[in-house]
Amino acid sequence: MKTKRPWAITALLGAALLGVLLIAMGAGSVYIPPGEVARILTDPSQEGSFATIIRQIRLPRVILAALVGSCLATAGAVFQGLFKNPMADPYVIGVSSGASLGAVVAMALGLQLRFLGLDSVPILAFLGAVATMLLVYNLARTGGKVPVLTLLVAGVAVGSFLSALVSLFVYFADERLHQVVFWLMGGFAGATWHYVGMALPYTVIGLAMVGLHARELNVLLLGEEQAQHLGVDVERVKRILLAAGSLLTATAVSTAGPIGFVGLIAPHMVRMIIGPDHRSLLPAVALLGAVFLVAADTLARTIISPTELPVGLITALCGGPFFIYLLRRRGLSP
Amino acid sequence: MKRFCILLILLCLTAGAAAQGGFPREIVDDAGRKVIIPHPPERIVSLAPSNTEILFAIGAGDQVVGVTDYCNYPPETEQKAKVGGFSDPNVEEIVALSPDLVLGTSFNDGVIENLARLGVRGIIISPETVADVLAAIERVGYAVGRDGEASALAGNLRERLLAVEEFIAGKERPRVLYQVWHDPLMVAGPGSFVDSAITLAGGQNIAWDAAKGYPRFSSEVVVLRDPEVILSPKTHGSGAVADAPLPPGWEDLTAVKEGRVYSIDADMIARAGPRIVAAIEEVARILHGEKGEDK
Repeated sequence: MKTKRPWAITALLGAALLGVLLIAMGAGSVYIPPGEVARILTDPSQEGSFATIIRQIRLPRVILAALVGSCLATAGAVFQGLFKNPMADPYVIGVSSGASLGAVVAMALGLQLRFLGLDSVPILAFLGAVATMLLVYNLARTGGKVPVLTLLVAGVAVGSFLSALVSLFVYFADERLHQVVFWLMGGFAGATWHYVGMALPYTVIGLAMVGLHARELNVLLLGEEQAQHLGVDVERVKRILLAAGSLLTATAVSTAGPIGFVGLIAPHMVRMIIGPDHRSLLPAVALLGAVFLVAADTLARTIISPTELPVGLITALCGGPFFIYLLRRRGLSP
Repeated sequence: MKRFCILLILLCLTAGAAAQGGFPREIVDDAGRKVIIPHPPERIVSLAPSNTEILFAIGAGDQVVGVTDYCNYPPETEQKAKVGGFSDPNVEEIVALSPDLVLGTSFNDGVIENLARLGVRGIIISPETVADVLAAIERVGYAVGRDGEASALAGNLRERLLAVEEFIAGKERPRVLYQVWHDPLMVAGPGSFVDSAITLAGGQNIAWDAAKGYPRFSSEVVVLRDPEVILSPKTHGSGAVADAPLPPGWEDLTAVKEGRVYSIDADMIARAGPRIVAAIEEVARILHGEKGEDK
């Protein structure tokens, strides 16, 4: 059974995002009542520790979680569609391993570069992600074409290789590299406005690139030959979607570390509810990813406050059972 | 007859040695194992920097033949064989050194068990508080036949701790944040070794309600509780936490505004060795000023 009104679902998810953002602003180790939150947000002259917490800690963190959530979920939807593979997730072509290697190198060398207020870890993570994407793409290219299957296998192979390099670094890590382990767990504890500033433009560009090719993604699902017959420049569309998916993943991983599960399950959840048409699917997926990750991060910082949990733990613990419930109820859509 | 004589001489020698140091000795280690040490150990392998420091401080450095890669104090440790990491030392290396005593901590429980199966004697000494360290010094001294040196050292440290206690008596306890790591923010939680050091030095740890050990901590709570002093560890070759940009929202903290953000030698304050007392003295000076001067 498919819902006949996908836009109603999307509107509902939009409202849910607003709701969860409001809750996330008030909840935390320190509870701040909604009225107080509203006053602080609307009146710049408000001061005190609540104002500091809201403006400098909570707001950038909540916004970054929303951006990263929509990046990961959308990237997951793109790769699942592009590879016609339900197991695909944002990390399937090794982009997260590349980002991890970049971050680990930055930490191992103790690089101290600063760029637009960001330190070397997010910068090198981003470069690592983009370099991996280019490497995998060129490895998979044969005679001007990029067969998706080759791309998938090349991505998995490169990803495993880079992961092994990361493990090697971690294995020989001295005390200084203990941070690598924490980085690899992912999370938003270090979120600042600089991170939001870095993530926002790439998120917008990536989502726009994907959104403009929603129809082509639908056509690709019919098979590449069919798509070609229908007048779609298959290779060009693949390149654009691949670049967009990788850009979104790189943005997410470089600002928050690798966070699992969101990119895998958010697209499936939405597909089970509103069907496989990417034109209505993509906006809903981006919204659900944001809602899910903001909620998960809010839980991570409140459950055993003032101690914080890694957000990846929450996404897997809460997302897993809910996903299985949906799977049993509705089955998997193509 | 000749053989009998040699045997007799050997017997007398061992008996003499035993009478001299009171060996064999029995010790119950921190894993609750009863271990008999037949003679003063001559070839000791230490599996933790804290135990290595204790051994050298009680004059048993010459009896040590192996240490871990992390044992960097005192400088003489450089001349000792390295047996690998802290929680995963190389068992073959250890056995190859044919030690007559291996000194581990609770991290090495499995290693000590494995070694016991191979016939290598090992004990676990794993102090968890500053008071434990003083007791551990005396117990290690007993195990390796350095009783006199150990009780002298423990006595000296005890006196210095009493002096600190006197120094801080009646003084207000400043709110202290011990920042283990900045991203994600990690602090010294209640019951941790650093936490007990802060308390003894006359401070109050603002992370009193965090999880045990060295947990992740909410940056928001730091802003709310407004620490008066921030301490962070400094390891050799990197001052990563001190060099890192200030977390957002921390500009208005009392500690930051008053410039009371300090780095502490991580090896001194986080190791359950004799130097913890010097670290406590240093923290007490940071919190309450030099002796005589009122802060």
